[in-house]
Amino acid sequence: MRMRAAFALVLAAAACGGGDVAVQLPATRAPIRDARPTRLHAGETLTVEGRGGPFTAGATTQVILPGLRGFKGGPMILPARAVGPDRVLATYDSAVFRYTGSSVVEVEQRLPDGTTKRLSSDPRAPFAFELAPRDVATAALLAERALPSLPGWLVGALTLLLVAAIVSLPIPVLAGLIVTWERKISAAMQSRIGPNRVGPRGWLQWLADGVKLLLKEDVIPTAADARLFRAAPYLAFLGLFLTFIVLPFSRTLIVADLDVGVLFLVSVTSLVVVGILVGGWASNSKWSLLGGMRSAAQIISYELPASMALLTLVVTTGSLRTQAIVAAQGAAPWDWFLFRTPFTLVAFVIWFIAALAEGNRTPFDLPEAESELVAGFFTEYSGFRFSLYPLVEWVNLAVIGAVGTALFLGGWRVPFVTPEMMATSWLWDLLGFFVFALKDVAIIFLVIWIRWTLPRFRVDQMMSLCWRYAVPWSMACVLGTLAWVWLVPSGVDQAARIALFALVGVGGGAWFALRVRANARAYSDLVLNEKLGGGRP
Amino acid sequence: MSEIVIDRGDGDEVVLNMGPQHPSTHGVIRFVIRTDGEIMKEAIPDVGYLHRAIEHIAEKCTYEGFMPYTDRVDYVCAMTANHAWALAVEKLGALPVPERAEYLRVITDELNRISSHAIALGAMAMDLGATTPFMLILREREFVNELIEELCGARLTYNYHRVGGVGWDLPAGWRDKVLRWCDHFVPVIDEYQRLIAENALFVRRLANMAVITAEEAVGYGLVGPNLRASGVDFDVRRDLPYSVYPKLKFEVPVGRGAMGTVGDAWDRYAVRIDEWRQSVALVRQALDLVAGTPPEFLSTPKKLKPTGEAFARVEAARGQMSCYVVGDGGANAYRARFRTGSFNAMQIIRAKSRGLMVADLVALIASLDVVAPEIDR
Repeated sequence: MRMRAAFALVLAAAACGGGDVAVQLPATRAPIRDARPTRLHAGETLTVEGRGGPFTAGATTQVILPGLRGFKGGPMILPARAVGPDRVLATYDSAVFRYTGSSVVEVEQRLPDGTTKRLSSDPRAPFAFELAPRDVATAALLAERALPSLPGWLVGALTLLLVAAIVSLPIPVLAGLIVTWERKISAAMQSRIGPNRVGPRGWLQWLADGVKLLLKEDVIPTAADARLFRAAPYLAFLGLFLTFIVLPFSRTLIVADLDVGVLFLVSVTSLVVVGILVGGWASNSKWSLLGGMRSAAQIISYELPASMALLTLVVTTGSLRTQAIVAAQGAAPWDWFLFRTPFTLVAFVIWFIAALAEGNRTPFDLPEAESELVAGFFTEYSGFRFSLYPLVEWVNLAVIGAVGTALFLGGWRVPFVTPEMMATSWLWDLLGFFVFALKDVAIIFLVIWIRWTLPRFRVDQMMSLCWRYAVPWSMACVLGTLAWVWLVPSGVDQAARIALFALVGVGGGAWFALRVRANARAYSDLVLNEKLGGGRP
Repeated sequence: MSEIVIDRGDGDEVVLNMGPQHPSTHGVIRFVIRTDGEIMKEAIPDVGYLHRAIEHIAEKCTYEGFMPYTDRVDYVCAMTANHAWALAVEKLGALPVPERAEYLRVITDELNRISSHAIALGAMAMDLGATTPFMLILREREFVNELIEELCGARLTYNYHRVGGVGWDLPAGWRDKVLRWCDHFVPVIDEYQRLIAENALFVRRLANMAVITAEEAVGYGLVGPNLRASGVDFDVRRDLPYSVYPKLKFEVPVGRGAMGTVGDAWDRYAVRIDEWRQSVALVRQALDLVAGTPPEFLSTPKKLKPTGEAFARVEAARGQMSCYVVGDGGANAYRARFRTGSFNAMQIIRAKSRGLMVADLVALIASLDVVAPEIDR
């Protein structure tokens, strides 16, 4: 089953298709042939197909899914109507996201003569029903129900706008907070104080900086291509902003759980490179152009290993949907994709390196290397337009963290709590969001830490790292994962997870902690204030 | 400013103007770079943006009065410029210098060498993209600045040495403070080494990059750490001794090619690290010996109107700094001339830049520890 799913998945990925794998039913004489879709999505229609015209049109009909268990207990009963001898349409209501599991599909019809007819699908092949979150489609549907007097398209469009506003408004705040945090971390690393003037402990510094940039003159160089120069920052911003659509911040907090989620993620982030390259070119400055070219070469190169690394997860999961990838991981660390197989572990490392490169973060900050290219592709920008590029960079940090969390670190899953249990209360959801945020922040910290520690690669070194090491290794990871999914029995698979977690997670963590302790002891006499008396010699 | 003729070559080349205002030219220097993409065909240094006619000023003010101007010859390592001028004028006037002053000169020279190398090594890491080592080592430089401030009241342009001695004697308790700081600084060197020196990225950027052979180094007139990094064992303090250096024990570190070839950029880094250790040793010895000297520290004559010419050289942080002075019997010098390490280092950049990448140029400039005011004066 696993093997088949994996194989089908590669095909599905190759065809850029959805993650739902069609499973061939065995030959049977059961009166109900098919039911779809099996992703329970509020307000959607469940189509039940009969075999040989078993349904009676006009009869009072309901579809029963006896195998499903929701928070009030199963079975799930859906209102339905027969639209033909072979077809019944039922409607999921908004409560269905509590139900999950596999079940036969039954159709109960009360005929006009008072008798009741009950038809069932093949009990040997139950349908696997899975959860769909309340996403933007659900929101649009609920809005449509609440406002029946307005045209449906208008309500849909307004809902989309509202969701876009809700998602995009916190982004500058998020970027600002990360900037301030990064400045504080770097200050701590460099024996400095860092921002401490604006707001409580300097935490509103980003606001002051943002207002300052807003008030600055928007200079456009005379020789620049003014239209492209103006448009470029927005292109970069758009590419990053779009990723927020598929990021699963919690079980329900996702804009749209697209069937092509991972593919979407990989695709829209390449829009950023367009923004950077256009910005560098339109500035009509040699430094900007060099920065833009570096960035284009770097981001396009590193997209390959990044996508390959994510493909290992797709191969293991059998879906491109981000929520499905979260669901495929357990809540416990050894069930995360990080420790799932040796190949996913290597894939995580490759993905992380590639994410640093795509995000222009040290040691891959060549496009904006201030000691070489002044400011790289945004040398000529000023004012608010200038601020958009750093905004993209720092929001990208949050996106790197979120992608890593969702795809490798178990996402919003709370240890020892099943998704079904989490569906019982919004408080669980909130807890899930905090767990997600915690992991996200941990990755962001790691990236910031690396930035303030390492020097920068040279262009040729950066390229050779990608093409000579990252690309072949990531390909090996995909093939290795395929082989693993195909060949390794589940007992070994389970043992390997625990072993990897113990070795890399616990062992590596302990080694790191010991080194930190040893370093702290070796240089404890560097606490200057005591040694030199009052901080000054 | 020299006329720079640019051969535009075939159509694939881009001429980049790096400087005079650029974050990593270490001051107001300009480079005209011919590049093909990221690969440099040539980088042509253009100096002269920071010329302040310091040598001409020497003809306009008295010998003692010129001392503050020597601070500006190399403001990153002002003590040795002070020392060079004092030494040249003392030679010219055949003036005696009290022993205590000689030790104080050595102590301040070496402290200043430490702080100057701190700038050089920190900026080197920063030019390669690592900002933390720079901030970390600037903290150490801050301590040196504080120490020297307590001694002479200035933090950057010290004006501490005098013709015939030094400006002030040791303040009370200063000696112990410096010794305590030395104890603190030696482990900092190790920490700094661990932080950056063996970092794989750092080594890959610097090892085997812009290798200067011993012949080239001598041929281009490199001096100081740049010369020694190429394996040439020459140090003015040891080989052409001045002041009380013969009484002190120290080693002269040379490039060993530990990470690649002798004379590569990493060696120029390593030599400066080793010089830190030697400077600390020198400061300790001099502090020990200065305690036993008579309290006299300045013996400037009332009337200083020498005749003749004199040439003196000291080992500054950027290598041999020579000072040539001619007196004609007046209160001012007839002619003064400084020859500095950075100026010599600039001329090898054009030859070494061929075939490097743009990012390497920054590392090359940083590894030669070029300081703009010292080039132009």
